Amino acid sequence: MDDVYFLKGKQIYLRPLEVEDINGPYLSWVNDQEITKYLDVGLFPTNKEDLKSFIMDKNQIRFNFAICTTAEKLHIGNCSYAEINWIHRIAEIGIMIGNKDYWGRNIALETYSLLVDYAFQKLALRKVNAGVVLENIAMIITLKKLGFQTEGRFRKHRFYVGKYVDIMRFSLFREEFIPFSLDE
Amino acid sequence: MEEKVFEICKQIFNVENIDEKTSISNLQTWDSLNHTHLIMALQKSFNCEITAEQGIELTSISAILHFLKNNKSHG
Repeated sequence: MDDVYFLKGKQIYLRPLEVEDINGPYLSWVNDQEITKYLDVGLFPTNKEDLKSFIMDKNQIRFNFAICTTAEKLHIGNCSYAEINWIHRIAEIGIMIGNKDYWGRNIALETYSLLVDYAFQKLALRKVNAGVVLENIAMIITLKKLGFQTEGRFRKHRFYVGKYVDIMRFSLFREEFIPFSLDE
Repeated sequence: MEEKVFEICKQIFNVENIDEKTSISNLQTWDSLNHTHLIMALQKSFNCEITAEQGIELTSISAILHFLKNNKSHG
């Protein structure tokens, strides 16, 4: 696939999610219980039609991106803005790194840095939010490195892996943002 | 106590210089894996319990020192 570079980092770039992506590894990710452990996707089997419907569902409050490696142009995950409120200028961000070979390599850090920078610089958003399971220390540290602040704790808010877990809420204002760069 | 914290951090983050201004935002080797190791090391060295919710807030040397000072009864 000839790729379109929407946002470019050093290790990865973001491009639109395409219908053709349902023929790649994406389908296996959303059916992999380890990958979807703390996500609301993957509760039931997902097929190509389900993915196609998701990708085709366009609206003004949710935008999805494919995360691809700059070196091999390999599709390794997805990320998104969600629940964008254009009046209050806020949005949620989310990520799923489906290719396990890229876990623990600062991919989420670089991806979120690109997304957040674009949200503040081009979309003129005021505040970016994220929710994380308390046990997901890796993601919490990723958010902290970008300057996210803890806003609260939703106690026993979600049922994952056989138990109710707390969800931590984080937020970031433009002036708090600490961009991540691999050139540091 | 400060020196002990600094030494623990120098070892875990593999750096020579740590001071009260060091934080997760200005130290590249302060990643999630090292953060987990740090929390375990602090619990062991200072004989204190650090909950998950407390642990995620200990992302700067100043926060760690403040926490340990306020939890002296465990140390």
